[in-house]
Amino acid sequence: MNGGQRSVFVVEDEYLLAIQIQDDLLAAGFAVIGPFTSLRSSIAAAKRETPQAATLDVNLNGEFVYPVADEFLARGVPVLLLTGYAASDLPEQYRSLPRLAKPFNSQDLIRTVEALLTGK
Amino acid sequence: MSRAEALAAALAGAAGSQTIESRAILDSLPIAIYTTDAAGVVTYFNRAAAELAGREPRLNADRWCVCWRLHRPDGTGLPADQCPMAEALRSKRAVRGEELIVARPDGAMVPVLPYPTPIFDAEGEMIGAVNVLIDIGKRKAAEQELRAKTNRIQALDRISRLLSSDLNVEHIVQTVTDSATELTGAKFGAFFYTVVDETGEHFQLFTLSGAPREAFEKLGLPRNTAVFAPTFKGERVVRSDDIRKDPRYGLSEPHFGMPQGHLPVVSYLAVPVIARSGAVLGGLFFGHDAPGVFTRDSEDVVVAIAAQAAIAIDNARLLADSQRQTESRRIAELSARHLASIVSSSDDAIVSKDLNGIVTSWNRGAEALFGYSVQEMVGTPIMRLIPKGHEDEEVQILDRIRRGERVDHYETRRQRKDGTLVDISLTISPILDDDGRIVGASKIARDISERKASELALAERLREQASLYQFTERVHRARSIAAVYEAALDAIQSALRCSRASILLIDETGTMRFVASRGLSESYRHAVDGHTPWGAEAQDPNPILIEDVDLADISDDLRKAVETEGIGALGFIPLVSAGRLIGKFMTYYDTPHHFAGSEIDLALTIARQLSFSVQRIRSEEARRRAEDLLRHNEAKERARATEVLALMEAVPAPIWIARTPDCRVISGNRSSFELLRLPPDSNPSLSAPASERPVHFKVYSQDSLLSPDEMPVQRAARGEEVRNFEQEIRFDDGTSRHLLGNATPLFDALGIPQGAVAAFVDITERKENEQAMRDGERRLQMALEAGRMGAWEWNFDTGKVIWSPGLEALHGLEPGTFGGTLDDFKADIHPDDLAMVELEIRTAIDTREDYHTSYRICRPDGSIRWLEAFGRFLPRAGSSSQRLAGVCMDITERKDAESQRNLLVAELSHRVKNTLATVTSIARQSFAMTPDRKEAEQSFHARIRALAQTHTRLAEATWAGVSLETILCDELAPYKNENAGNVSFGGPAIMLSPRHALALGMAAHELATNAAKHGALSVESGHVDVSWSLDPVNKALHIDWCETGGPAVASPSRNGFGRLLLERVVGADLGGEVELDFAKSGLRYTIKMPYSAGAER
Repeated sequence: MNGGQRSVFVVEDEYLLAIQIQDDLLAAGFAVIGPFTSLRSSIAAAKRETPQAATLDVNLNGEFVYPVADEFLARGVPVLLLTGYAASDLPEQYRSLPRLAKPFNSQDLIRTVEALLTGK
Repeated sequence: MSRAEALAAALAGAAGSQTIESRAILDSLPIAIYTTDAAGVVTYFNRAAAELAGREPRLNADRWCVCWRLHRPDGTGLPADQCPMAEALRSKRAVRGEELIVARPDGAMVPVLPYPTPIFDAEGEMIGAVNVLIDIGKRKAAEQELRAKTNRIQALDRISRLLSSDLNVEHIVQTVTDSATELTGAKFGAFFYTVVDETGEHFQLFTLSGAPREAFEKLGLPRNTAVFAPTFKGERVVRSDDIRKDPRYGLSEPHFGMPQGHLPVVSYLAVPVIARSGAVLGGLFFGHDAPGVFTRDSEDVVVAIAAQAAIAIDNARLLADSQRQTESRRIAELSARHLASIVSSSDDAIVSKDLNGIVTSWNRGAEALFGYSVQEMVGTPIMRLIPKGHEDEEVQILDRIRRGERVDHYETRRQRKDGTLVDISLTISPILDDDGRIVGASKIARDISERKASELALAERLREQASLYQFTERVHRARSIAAVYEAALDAIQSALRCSRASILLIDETGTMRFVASRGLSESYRHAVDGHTPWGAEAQDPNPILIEDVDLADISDDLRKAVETEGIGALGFIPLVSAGRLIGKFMTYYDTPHHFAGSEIDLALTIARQLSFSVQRIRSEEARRRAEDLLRHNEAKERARATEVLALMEAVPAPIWIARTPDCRVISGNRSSFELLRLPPDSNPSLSAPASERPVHFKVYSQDSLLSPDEMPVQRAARGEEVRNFEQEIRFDDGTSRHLLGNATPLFDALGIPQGAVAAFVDITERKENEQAMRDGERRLQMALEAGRMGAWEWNFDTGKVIWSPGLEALHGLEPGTFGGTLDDFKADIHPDDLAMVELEIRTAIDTREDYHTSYRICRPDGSIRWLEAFGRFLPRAGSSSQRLAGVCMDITERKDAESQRNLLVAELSHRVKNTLATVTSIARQSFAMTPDRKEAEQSFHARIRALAQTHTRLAEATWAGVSLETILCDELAPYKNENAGNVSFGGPAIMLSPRHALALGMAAHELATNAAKHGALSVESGHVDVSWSLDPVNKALHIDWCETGGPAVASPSRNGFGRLLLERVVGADLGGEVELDFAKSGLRYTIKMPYSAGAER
């Protein structure tokens, strides 16, 4: 892992989307940790890694990504939720997190991640 | 030789030469004649013989005699073969003088004298005999009569001799009676005769013969009845063969005939006995219990005896009279001789005085009576004896004497020498001298003091008797006890001459109490009330008499009370009834008093009357009270009966009454008839005879038909107490009434059941309501169960919480195991919801509004269920408490469904957006990796179609999954050639989850399009085989895509979308391993992915 590069932790169970996200982030100059497609692998990685940001697909093949989010939030890692759910469908405590509704395009993703990193 | 003898001899002689004429003569002779042969067999008899025998003799059959039976004169039987005729035949001699008696078949007895005579033929051989029977009955009777007459004459002679020598009347009449009874042949005789005694009184005596004296004594003397009158009046003789048939008989009261116990008289003969003077001395009466005993002869004899008797009695009386006269004269002479000594020795004062009133003689009696001696009185005026106020008497007496009158029994008073007065009775006669001039008076004075005293005493007795009589009369009239007391006090005071009196009775406590008094002070009565000198149980107590209180041995208290009351003497007279002391009456005297014997007797008499009357009035009052009570009770009973009747009619409950144990007839009240739909007063009994029995209903109990004997009234009428019996009257129109009630036996005084009463209530409505309630509850229960609901109730007063079994089931509890308190309920509530539930309950109670909430419960098995509860506050009403009651329903499914729906919506959104994201990726990859834009476009469209196809398959299965074979078929179908068999599948049935299905679908699309474009499906000879298998140990699915027969394979020059997908995406999406092998013989793609059966979702 190179120290100067900003790393983004990617969790997405749809591998086609994961590839695309990965491609978009790489293209924008980010280092990508992942993508992880399952909750179990995501949690294990999350405990290991400390990225600058994390993009988390909420529903991971029927399991919710919240434990991963909690892990990162506890450590101050900004989290971006990637989801098709509306805010009302989310648990209360996660409704205020930055969120990018699917489907999204590359520009939206990069801009949101950039914003997340700059703390806007 | 008698005529019969001559005839017999003649007949015997003529026998051998009978002619027709002689036969005819014999036949008509009035003398009985018969003949026999030598053997005694009757050969002839004439009419007179048949008449004598009283039978028709049998010729050539009867032997010895033509008669039926024969007797000797002494009455003994005489066999025919021993009769004189038989004797004559045997001895061949005539037999004579043997009397015998012929017995006729009709019972008559005829004495006869037979003349049997043998008959001899010319050779002297006996050829038979003839017998002449002479009827000697009349001769016999005459002889007897002669004998009787002779007897009577002799008897009469004897009697007359006897009577003429007898001067004793009693002896005479007895002799007369006995003789006459004997001579008349009477069974009994009597002589009733009148005697006159010295005083001239007449009375009747009687003598008897043939009967004991007692036989008449109790009957009294014969009265002057129609039968007796002719005798006692001396009119004529009465003779009757049967006096009871005499027209004079039975006319007089009281017996109308002979009185009970009279001797049995049938034959009757009565002859008056009349003196020479014509006076009837008496009558002779004779009787016999057989009829027709007395004949004219009897009558004659008695008449003769009566005449003799009359003479004898006259003589006897004459003698008696002369004897009496002699005696009188003798006494008179004796009297004259004794007169002088009588005068001198008389206790009476005999005094003579001259017309001047100067005493001329003075006997010893006068000395004794007046106290003056002869010397003192003779020559002195009689006036000195006359006390003051009586002076005129002597003048008047002397005047009367001078007029020659006599003064008899003049009662007056004279003065004795000692100055005392004496009551005397004077008898004063004039004394005449030889010339008949009145020269003085003789005076007999008798001391009548004692007589006066006796008279006084008598008057006293009379007064007492009068008092008693009045008392008796008054108490018998008395209707009240008070009147009895008044009468008794009057009688006591007047008869016993006491100044004061009282009556005390023993009351129910056994204490002697004043019930009435006269002249006693309140304080005295109070002081002595309850006092009695006798014990309570004293038998026949005696009067207690205190003649002088000062001397009496009495208690100090009693003495003080008595003295204070001023009582000098007193008597306690016990009142006794049936030997028991019931009280006393008291007599009080102001001064000491001697109780004479007569006084005590009188007191006891009054006491008896009083006791009796008190008891009588008491028992009358008791009876009256009892009657009043009875009347009152009867009236009450009647009133009650009326009330009961009215009540029975009024009550809306059916009542039945049976008055016999068999219950053939039952009566009832209006309600009972209305209930059974019968007319009033009909017979509703099902025990009635079949023709009278009602048929429009039947009686059931617990759904089984009752026989009449099983019905409650019938059972009770047999003595059974039937309680709380439920019966159902089912009518033939299909309706029915339910009754509940009791039947009670009616017992008679002996405890034998005589019927029954039964009262029932119509519980039909209740039964229906109960049924409806049961139905409602059941429906509610069903509804609760069906709706997974349970009911509950919380009683604020008791704190108890009641759960229905359904609610327990909802809580996962066994029925009946709920603890029953609010805390038990709260324990089941999910901790997160408890506060909310408590708040809701509190609100419902505070606001009295309905309670509605939902909460989770934790069941014992650890599962969590959602319950929704509805409750309503029930305020206190009557006896029921304040409660919160309601239902709970299990809404877990609904809650689940809600969250499922929410989930689905979110999932849909998620998938749609994911799908769109996938499509976007596919587009990006297709267009980026395929230089040829047209080709890129076609590939993109094909991929989207393949994706859509898998989506369609998933939608068809409602996203439950789709089989691997279906996915492969769908993708390979466009290239499949059935004839060539270019595609083959093989493997177990595998269901794929939507995610796997989508991944494998896309993989199959890429492989199929690649095979069709470059591989095995691009040529005729090519073949694609897809096989798969399960590795149950590693829970893995192996899929093998194998192409053969196609063009030689070369590794692609560039990495297209297909390769990206197959090599990276599919593996990642499936979570497995993939291998893409570009073998020359054909492309081969293998997938090894985790798989467990049934985990497709």
